[in-house]
Amino acid sequence: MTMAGVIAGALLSPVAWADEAVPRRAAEPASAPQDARMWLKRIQDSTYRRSFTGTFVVSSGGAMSSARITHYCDGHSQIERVDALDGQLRSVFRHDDVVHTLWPASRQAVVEQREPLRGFPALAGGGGRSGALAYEAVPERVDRIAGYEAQVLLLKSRDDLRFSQRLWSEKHTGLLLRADMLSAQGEVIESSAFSELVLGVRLQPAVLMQEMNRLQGYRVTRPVAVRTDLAREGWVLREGVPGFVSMSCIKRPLEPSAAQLSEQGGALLQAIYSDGLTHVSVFIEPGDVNAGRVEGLSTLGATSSLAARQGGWWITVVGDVPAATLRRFAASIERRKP
Amino acid sequence: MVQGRDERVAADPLREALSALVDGEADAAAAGDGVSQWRDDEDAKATWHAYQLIGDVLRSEDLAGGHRDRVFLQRMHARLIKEPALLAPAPDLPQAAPAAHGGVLHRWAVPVGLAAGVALVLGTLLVVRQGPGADGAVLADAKPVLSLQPPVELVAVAGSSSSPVLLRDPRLDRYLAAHKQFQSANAMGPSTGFIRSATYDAATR
Repeated sequence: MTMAGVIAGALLSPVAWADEAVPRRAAEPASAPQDARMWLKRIQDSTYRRSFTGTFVVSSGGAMSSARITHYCDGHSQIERVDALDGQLRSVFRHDDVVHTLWPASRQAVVEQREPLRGFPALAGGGGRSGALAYEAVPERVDRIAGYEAQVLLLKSRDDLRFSQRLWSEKHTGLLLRADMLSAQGEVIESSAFSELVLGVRLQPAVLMQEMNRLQGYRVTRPVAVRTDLAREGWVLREGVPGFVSMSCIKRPLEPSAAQLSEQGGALLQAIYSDGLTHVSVFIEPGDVNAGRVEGLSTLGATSSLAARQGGWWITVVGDVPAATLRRFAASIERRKP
Repeated sequence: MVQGRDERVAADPLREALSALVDGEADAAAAGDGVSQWRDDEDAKATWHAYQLIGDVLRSEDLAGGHRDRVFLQRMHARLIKEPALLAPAPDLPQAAPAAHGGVLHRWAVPVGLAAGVALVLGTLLVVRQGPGADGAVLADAKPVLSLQPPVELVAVAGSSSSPVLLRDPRLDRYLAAHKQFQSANAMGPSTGFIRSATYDAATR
């Protein structure tokens, strides 16, 4: 067909013209550097605006688990209930930063006040290179998940220090319907998705709160965690790992059941680093309490952990990242105080 | 045949009489009727013969236990293992003898065992298929197992496939749980990370 023919065909056939224009227009924002942030912000905002119920399935490392989800939000506060559908009976409630985990069969409960994390810096609007995400956003096709139309978005890792992720974001609300973690070869190594979802349901927050606080007859454990920072504990991450920023650092008693931190008892230190989509935890603890431990890497699904001795200490790095990234963290952490 | 008399038998006085005669339960008058029926009626002779045959089968361990059946079932089992299809058709189970009772039950053990065996074979095939690194080659290499026992060797193949070795440190669970608490450190907000980690935790705890 000649060029004139193409133009004439396009002019005569508005449908064909429109068909061609749509994917082009959709692909345009991909080149904008801020786009991945825009998408993530939209996903985050959706959970503050919408109440929903559904069934969520996570498949990782050959294991699959599913849970019944109830999510309530009034624009400010979030209340969530996650009931495990496989294995032991278990309900996890979250009211903003407070998390209650209930095991009705053994009448055990864990009550946690979780660390309120400030938002990831790239989303705080700081701009500049430091705020740039280590992922490139590539809009893909439109798909359907749990009965809803979803825009598929590939967040392509810019280096080999993290896995790429494919996200399915509900077209109208932005809610994340499915997320796949991809290996460097493009294989799905973990997948989580709603298999069934009702968006915009009317929920009774008072009822959810009542159920969350119905702890009579339960043996309640309240794990202790104190905010600190690496330098104060005598450690430093000599050279950061590209794309990862420090989010928080806390310490807990070495014995999980201990009621409080004691000065001489030692502590389990946890430093958290995030690249916006995934995070890495660096655990540090005295070596003498780890008799019989072996150094090395273990991987299950997308999650790997690396244990290494450093002088009289054990360093354990955990994250949904390639093993090389964990090694960089382990090699970079250094004792400053004796 | 008394216990085995089904509705069809009961509905037909001739057959009922013959059945009673076979079982030695007919009184003198009924026996006389039965015998004269047998003499005059070709159908009655055939029925009599069938009842005797059924009785023989029920009483005979050789016929009932079926050594030949067992050999046949073993061969069929071996063939099923070699069968590449994941969903092999269920075997046609023999119909119940007119008197499905008492001594007959043990004859059912073999076909039922076979059905269970088929289920086990199918289960094993699925396990092998799903095993990491396992593919059609594993199935093709599987040697037929001439036994009614489930083919344990296949499971071993699945177990020894090239999946990454997991160093299961009991302390790891604590690290994993502590790590997952910070899922909200991602840019998609606290809810997205919480739903994922709370769902996934169920499998690991």
